[in-house]
Amino acid sequence: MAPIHIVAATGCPTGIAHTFMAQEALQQAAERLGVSIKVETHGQVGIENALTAEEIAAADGVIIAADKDVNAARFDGKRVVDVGVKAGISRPEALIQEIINGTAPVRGKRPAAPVAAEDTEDHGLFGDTTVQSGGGFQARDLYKHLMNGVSYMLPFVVGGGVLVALSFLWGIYSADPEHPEQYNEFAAMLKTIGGTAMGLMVPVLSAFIADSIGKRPALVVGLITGLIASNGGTGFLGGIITGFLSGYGMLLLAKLLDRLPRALAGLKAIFIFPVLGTFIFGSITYLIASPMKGINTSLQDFLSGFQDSNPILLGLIIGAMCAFDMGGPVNKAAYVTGVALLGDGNFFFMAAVSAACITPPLVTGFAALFFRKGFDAKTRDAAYVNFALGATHITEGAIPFAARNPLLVIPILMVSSAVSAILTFLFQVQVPAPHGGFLVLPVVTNGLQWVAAILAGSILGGLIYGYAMQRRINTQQPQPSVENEKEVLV
Amino acid sequence: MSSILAPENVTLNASASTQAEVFSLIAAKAVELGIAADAATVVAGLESREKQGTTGLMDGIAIPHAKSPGITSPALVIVRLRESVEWESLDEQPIIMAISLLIPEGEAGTTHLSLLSQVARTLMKPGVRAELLAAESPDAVIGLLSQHVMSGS
Repeated sequence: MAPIHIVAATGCPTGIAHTFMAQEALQQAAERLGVSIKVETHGQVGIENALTAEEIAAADGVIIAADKDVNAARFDGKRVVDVGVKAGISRPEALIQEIINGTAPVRGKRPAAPVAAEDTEDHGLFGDTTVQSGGGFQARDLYKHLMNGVSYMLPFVVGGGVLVALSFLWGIYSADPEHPEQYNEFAAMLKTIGGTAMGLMVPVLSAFIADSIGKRPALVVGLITGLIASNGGTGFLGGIITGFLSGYGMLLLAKLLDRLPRALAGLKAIFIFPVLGTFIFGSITYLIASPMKGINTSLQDFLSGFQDSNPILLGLIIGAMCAFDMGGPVNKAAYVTGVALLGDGNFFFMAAVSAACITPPLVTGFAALFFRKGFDAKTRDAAYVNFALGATHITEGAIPFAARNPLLVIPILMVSSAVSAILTFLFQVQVPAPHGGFLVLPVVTNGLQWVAAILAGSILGGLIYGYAMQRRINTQQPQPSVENEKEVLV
Repeated sequence: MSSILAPENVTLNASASTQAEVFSLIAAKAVELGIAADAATVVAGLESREKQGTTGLMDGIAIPHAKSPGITSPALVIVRLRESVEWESLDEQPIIMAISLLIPEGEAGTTHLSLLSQVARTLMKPGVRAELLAAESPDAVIGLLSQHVMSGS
């Protein structure tokens, strides 16, 4: 039997003592047990004795003895013993024994001990979309996988949607040679390019949901099943289903194939996973595409029916959802629905969602504009900046204000956004691009009415919010004359 | 080296009945040696580190440490008690010797920090803890640590 080689990482909050004691303890225990070990330390002076990717790849197992983030994601797929730094000091031999015996769980496949890690990876359009692999199956994970797909999908929708919308500047039939009075070659080209980008929406959504769950083998299967679903007319719902199906399906497949001899490991990634995975999940998708299409169609019908018969209620719901958590899951649920409906050619819903998302920052801006005394100078500046943020559809600008007085501010914002969304529906506004705020005005149908709807909601909210803040200030200062004098002195 | 690891920094046969009293002893010693200007900030630093997780090790040894702006130079303060005190430790034994690491906030020089880390690492070597507990004089304690720090790494 070849000698066992272990890599380890230690770290503690102060990074002076425990980190290095754990390193020493592990090294000694390794010596006693006759295995080789390399220990990377995450100390006050930085990372020392750093592990290389080759060393990690060659190791039989990994020991993490740390009370801080040691970038554990690079150990995915290895057998990992993940414990606090003190366990590294007090029972190093037991930890090494777990690697020797092969009882340590494989990270990123089966539940591992929870990692107290801070996310340092990049944050996309939707904030944190990285997935902490390992850990139990949680609803939060589902949301993260979904958002990973959405954040990869979004640029396709933006790029494609805007180009398609631009082509309509030459007229609604500008890309159709059957209508020579409007036909324009450049417009036709724009529409073809944009349409291709839009066509990738569902496959990309599916692929990156799957990728988030099961990494590269799942990405392949997710992309293929997403395209099958898309071609089958299942819409974005189909893409979500195939994404999760492919992701979790491939995890399951990997687990079933875990028993294969090691010699076949190389073959697995390049041959077995793509062929078997594509066959199995492609077939499933093929079979369920038609019922999914039915569900998708009836949902579209339901929403557009709702839109026609009860625009006020739908506007109220969208507005309230968008302003409820400003960029959080509830907001995103409404937003993602809007984006998805764009792909199905429904531009009304997106118009309402955009209006509702643009409104909250504007509310804070108007409040500070109308009621200067209700806000201190710093807050006022932040509020004015929110005019720019709101105009470009960055709802998050309102969060600092809502965080300060959530019970007061959030209801006001919800009402304001609902007003904007309802008016948008009533004015029959169509917004074909999923982001950009007022920058996309040239491609908005009934753009002026849209701006009016948003301003109406924002100004109304601004008046209520500003008045409330001013009253608060006044009631907090029972002797206004004295306080005012002080203010002058300062 | 000498300022960090000197016999003056070692107190043997001290008496304390609680962890808080041990902290006070360490802080008073730090002020006496000119390592810190004010005992209260040292105690606060030690306490706040302790809240993040106990510093008690095994065999009656603990390594309380503090990082605080009130500490002017990195140093080691060692206190060995006549009788052990209650202290959450890895082997659930009370503590009789505190090897305390004092670190200035924002210490830039890595040499000193590495030296402190070396001392901590030394404590994990076979036999060192027993030798420290049995050392008969401050000079012997320092001699032991120096010898292992030098031979180590």
